[in-house]
Amino acid sequence: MSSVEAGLVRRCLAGDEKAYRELVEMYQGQVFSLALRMVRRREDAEDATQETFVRMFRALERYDTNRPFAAWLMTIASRLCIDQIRRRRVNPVSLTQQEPGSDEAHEMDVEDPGPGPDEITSHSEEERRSNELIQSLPPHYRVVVVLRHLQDLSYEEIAEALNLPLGTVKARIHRAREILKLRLEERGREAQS
Amino acid sequence: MMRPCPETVRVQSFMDDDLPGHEAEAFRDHLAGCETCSAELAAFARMVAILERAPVWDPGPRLTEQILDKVVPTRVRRRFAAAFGWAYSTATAVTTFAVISWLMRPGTPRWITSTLSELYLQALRTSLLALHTMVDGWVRFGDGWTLLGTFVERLAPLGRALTVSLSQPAVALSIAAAFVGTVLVLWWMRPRVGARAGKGIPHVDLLGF
Repeated sequence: MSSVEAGLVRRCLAGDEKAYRELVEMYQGQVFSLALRMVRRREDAEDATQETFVRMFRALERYDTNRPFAAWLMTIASRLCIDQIRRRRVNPVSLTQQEPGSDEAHEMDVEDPGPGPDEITSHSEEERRSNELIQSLPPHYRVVVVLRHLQDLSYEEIAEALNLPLGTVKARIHRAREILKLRLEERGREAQS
Repeated sequence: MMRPCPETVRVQSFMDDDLPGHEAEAFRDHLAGCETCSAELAAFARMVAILERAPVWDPGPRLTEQILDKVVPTRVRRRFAAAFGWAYSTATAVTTFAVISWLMRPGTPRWITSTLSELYLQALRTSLLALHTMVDGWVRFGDGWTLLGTFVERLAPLGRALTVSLSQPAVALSIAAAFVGTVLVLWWMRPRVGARAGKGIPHVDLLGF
């Protein structure tokens, strides 16, 4: 944890209200972006962001300062988002299926086809492309990619956050990147033709 | 068309620095001579670069304030005080309305007068009894067990008088409600050691306002 974060955490624990605000403002963008990519609806993402901070502040005294603060916060956020996606499943039947080319069987997440972040926020062409790529992944691949490449969490931290074996996390990240690479190549070919 | 290479499966592990030192070194050498693996690595790097350009969205100050309302102790207390104030005002208004409506009923004043007279009489009798018991007990003080027996014997009418009072539904209900209310308030105001360390927003107590 950086000294800035450590200082903020200490001040929060001492009841300094300015520190609460600074900590929220420092991380709300990251938490909200993760939530929006996961749950797709702005209202749900806002709820998840709020709940993440409430839980974080509740648990602040038990926080292990040897762990990176951002990773800890993203762990809380990603668990909440996954819970929210599970709660929102349209079909209560648990479907186990295998991705083509993958050894790993997984549960399918049936999602609300609400507007994605693309339709909610305005941004440049590059950002749109990046969002489209991320959104094209199924949720169980999307979460690992977002945590790894956008939130910079290590494999171990992702495994802990998602309560998955390390091997499963690696397999999912490799598979997700494989899918993304193929999609990029397809788009490149379409653009050429 | 590039030839497939069996080493391509290791590209991602290499990219993540997940290969042991000597294997990574060997793979680096392999990359220098393998067009397929180099192209694969470049494709992954391009894809990761695109991913990392994904924006971080600012949810705006409204959400910041909503979050702070829920986590900053003084704001939580203020919110709680407001909710408590509303509940208290509502309860007071409803009770006042109920009491006034009851007082306006035709039979109520007579009932109040008779109940008060009865209560006054009971109180007077009880006081006299207590006085008599004390005097009598003092007189019989030297008589050991007799004192206790007399005390119990003298106390029996007091018990009966209390039973009569408590058999009035209004009296019994008021006492029960007051008792339950007191217990609840005391329970709620109990010191919560470790509330901050454990779960829950820092302890909010009545005396903290």
